[in-house]
Amino acid sequence: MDALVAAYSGASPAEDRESVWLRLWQPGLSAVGRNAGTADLVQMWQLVMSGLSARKYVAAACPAWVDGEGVVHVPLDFYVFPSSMGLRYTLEAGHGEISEGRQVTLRREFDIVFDQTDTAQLDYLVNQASFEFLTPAYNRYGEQISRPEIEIDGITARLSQPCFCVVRVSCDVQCWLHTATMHLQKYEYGTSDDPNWTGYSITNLKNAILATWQGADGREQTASLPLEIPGCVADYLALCGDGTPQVIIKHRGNKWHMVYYSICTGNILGVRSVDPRER
Amino acid sequence: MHTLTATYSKSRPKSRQRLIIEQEKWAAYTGALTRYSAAAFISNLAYGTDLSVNVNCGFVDGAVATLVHVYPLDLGRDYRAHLSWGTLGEHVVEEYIMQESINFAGARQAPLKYPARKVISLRWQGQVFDQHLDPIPPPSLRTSGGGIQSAEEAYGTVLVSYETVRHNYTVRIGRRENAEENKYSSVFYAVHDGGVDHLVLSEPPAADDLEGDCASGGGGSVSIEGPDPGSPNYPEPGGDRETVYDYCTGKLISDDIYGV
Repeated sequence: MDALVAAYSGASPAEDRESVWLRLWQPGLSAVGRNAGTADLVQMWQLVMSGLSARKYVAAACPAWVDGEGVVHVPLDFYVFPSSMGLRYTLEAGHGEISEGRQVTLRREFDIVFDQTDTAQLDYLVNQASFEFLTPAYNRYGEQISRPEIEIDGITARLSQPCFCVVRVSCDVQCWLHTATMHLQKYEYGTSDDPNWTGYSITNLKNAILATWQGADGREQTASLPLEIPGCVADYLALCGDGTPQVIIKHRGNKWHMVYYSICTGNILGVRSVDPRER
Repeated sequence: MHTLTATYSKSRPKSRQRLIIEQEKWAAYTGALTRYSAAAFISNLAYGTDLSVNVNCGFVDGAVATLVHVYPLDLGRDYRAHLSWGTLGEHVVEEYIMQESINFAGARQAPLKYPARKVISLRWQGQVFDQHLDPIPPPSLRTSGGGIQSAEEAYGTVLVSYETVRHNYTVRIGRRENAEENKYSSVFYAVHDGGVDHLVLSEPPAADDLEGDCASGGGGSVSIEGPDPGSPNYPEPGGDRETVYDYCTGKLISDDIYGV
């Protein structure tokens, strides 16, 4: 398969009549941080076996951490893709603060399926791209035809003729990286080591970014990005409501000992010993 | 390597669909620990039990393993199946009994989703209503073309059992070495004289990040400080103990003490 490279032409896509534009994008959370795995369980187990609390354990890749004052900090990255890196814009967050932008180049790699068409819209302004045809090209009668030429024009990939084919694209994307950080008081009454602390359940958390810039005609343009709160953060914040959620640890010997813990505070709510022969 | 220039032209009509292509759905909890597995793993750690910790990552021998069903709309027409990435097994022809619920919304005719070779049973489920939403006796039903026909215009649901023929393909998608992302992406496509039908295959959750080791999750190392060496209760070091568990199965791999 041939590897092909097309230089960015600098022209605006035909579909984008505005020559000055800006897009916002939040990357998805890595699966590593999305779900707890056995590695997390081992870590929590090691903490408990060492006499330390595992109640504040948050998976390493989950974007949340708790400080000693019981405040949960949730930093969420997002990218700004402007039509030119010189475009001036302002950002506002519904909650928390936004960091200064850091210019970054993202390396992206994905497949495009052309289904008897000659254009495909991309998600961002592509700086330089290489292409690899993963399939032959077919016309609408299922006949194999010679591969068309391909070009990326801003955010549009174009073929020299409509056909079916799958193309692998590797490209560099120039953009600005920002971090929106929310701060939520989750625990109170002393430090997190205080056994009498109280946890709050925080649910239905929402946040959005609003970007403002000046369009080609001088008028103000806006774009908004509702931030996705990762599930691991939402679950963590929702824990520790009124203290009723509990876990039970059973030990089976001559007697069954059941220890009830509050998952909010880690406090022991009660211990019950049951003789299995009496059950 | 070439620098390319292309001209823009309008799209043409798409291929004529000859096939229905579907991918077997990933089972619930594919790519993650179930609560049962988590509890079993903790039990193994805590009590030394030997409970099975089965985690379905959607992989077989390091490759994404999935199944594609192709339902030919016309069994007499041939096609050639391919993958844009990965390997495709020989297809197996299956006569499959499909159960389908079809909604009638004030119409006499409703299509079946898949091509039916033989309708086995056909009956109304629950109450049937007329155009005024008044209950009516269930109208008679019969097959017609690629669908079901009711004797009257009606609102209701029909449960249809029918035989269809499908071609099953096993798919194995290996990792793209050096890929930045979408390491397991692939497109199933079938070429016929009416063009090309295709399906973008879905990867199992966590495929790109964890590459078949979905049970392990994030983790990392835990640094646990030992007791204060100045403490009178500071124990004499007896050695370093290294215990290694398999993250996927929770099985003990090794338990060694060094420096005794």
